[in-house]
Amino acid sequence: MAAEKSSIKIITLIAADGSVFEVEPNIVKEMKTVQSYIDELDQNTVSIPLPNVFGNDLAMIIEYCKKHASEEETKEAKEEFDFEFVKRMKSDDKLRLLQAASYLNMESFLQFMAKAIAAEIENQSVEFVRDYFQIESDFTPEEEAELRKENEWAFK
Amino acid sequence: MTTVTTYNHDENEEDRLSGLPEGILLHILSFLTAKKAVQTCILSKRWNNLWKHVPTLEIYYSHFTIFRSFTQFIYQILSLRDPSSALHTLNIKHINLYHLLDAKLLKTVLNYAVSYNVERLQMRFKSDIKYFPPCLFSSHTLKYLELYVSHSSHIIFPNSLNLPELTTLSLRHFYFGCDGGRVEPFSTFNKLKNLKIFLCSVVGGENLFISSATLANLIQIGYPYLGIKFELYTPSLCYFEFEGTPFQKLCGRNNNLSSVKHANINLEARPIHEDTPLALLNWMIELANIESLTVSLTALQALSLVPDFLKVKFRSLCKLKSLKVEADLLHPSIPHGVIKFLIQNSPSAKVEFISDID
Repeated sequence: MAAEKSSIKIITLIAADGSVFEVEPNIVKEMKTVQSYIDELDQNTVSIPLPNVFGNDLAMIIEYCKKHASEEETKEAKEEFDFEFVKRMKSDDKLRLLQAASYLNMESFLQFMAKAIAAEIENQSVEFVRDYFQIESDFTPEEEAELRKENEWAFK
Repeated sequence: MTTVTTYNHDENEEDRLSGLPEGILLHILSFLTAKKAVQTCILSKRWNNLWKHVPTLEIYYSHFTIFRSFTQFIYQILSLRDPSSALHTLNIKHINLYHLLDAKLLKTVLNYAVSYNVERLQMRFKSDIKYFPPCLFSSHTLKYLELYVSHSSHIIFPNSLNLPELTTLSLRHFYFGCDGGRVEPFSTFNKLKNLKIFLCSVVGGENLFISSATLANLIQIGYPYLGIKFELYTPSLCYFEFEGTPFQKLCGRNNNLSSVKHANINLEARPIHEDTPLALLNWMIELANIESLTVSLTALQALSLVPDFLKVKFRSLCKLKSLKVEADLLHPSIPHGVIKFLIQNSPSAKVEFISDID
């Protein structure tokens, strides 16, 4: 555990917009980017700037980590939490949190977000998915028609 | 933090996710079904070939309009995937009354999966093959194997296999065969932790020997009346779940089930078979150390049919902390004395009634 490795008791995370979060070491265990930083230190407190994560997103990630790090919560309660957690998010939130998870190198949270995003686009049209990711097609209509024909086996 | 989205014609065209490495887009794609993943090829040039690198393939018959499209898709995706990209998971679901998956397709799929060192393989299908393509059973990477065949299939599960990394095995509607010796198909899996045997049979009605030094969780679900006879040689077993009709003792000679902590025993068959009450009582004696027990109401009724039941000397279940009875909560007609009997050596055990309708 992190607490055994270093003497740090409180970690201060500073988000891109300057908002400050004080958390215990077990909360950041899953954030490998943060973890690799504090493993090196021998002091009681540390401040870590996270210039790629906004305060609102960091608050959500910490909420998720607190729930999942808790040993008192049952597996069912954690699943219920996950369900509600995704439900209250818009597509934009999911994509931002996915990017944050990638930056913080949080493997299981990254999987969780990727799965939530996949669930949202699974039954949707190509147009919906383009819109979702704000992709502008760089195919001409002729090229797209050609591609659809070439990959007809995946559209039947 | 995100730079969106002015499309330009050089190589750095950016969409909302362009800041993310390809690996993370592949994470998203790996949670899509394979058909949807391939369809992302027309989103933009950046996405055009991404699907070829996805390490999971989930192919469901129900997503295709006709059977031929489904089989064609399988052949196409296997031949067009990037040959240097890993494949961790392959999941094919073919639930269909009319069409059989032919042996050639199965062989192609399994050869492909094994040659790509697949770790997780799930197949649900209907076929008239009798034996599985042997390539499957030479995988040195497979950790999770789930094979559900339709009830009309007669596929034999081989007796001695070499799957050294296998930790979870689930089988439905298989026949276990012997090569003259004991029917003991699981003893060669040195890392097996979880085993689910669902509506399987043994050729010739022989005993099935479930032998494994590592097995921790066993779920054995049989037909209400035609359950298979099995013997356990499982010194590490922790959880035992059973549905069906008990015929004989759980353990073979010189063995015990002292490691089992949790048991869930569900009898549904009525009328209760004449051998069931004593067989079940023996199970309660064998499962001596369990801490939690879940039983169906029918199991309690069967126990109460043991001759002179209330006079039986019972020294088992001393460590029981929780007894749950699955019953119709409106009419829980629990036979007199049977709960008291079960908790007589652990009077502080918590007794609960839970609904049998999920």
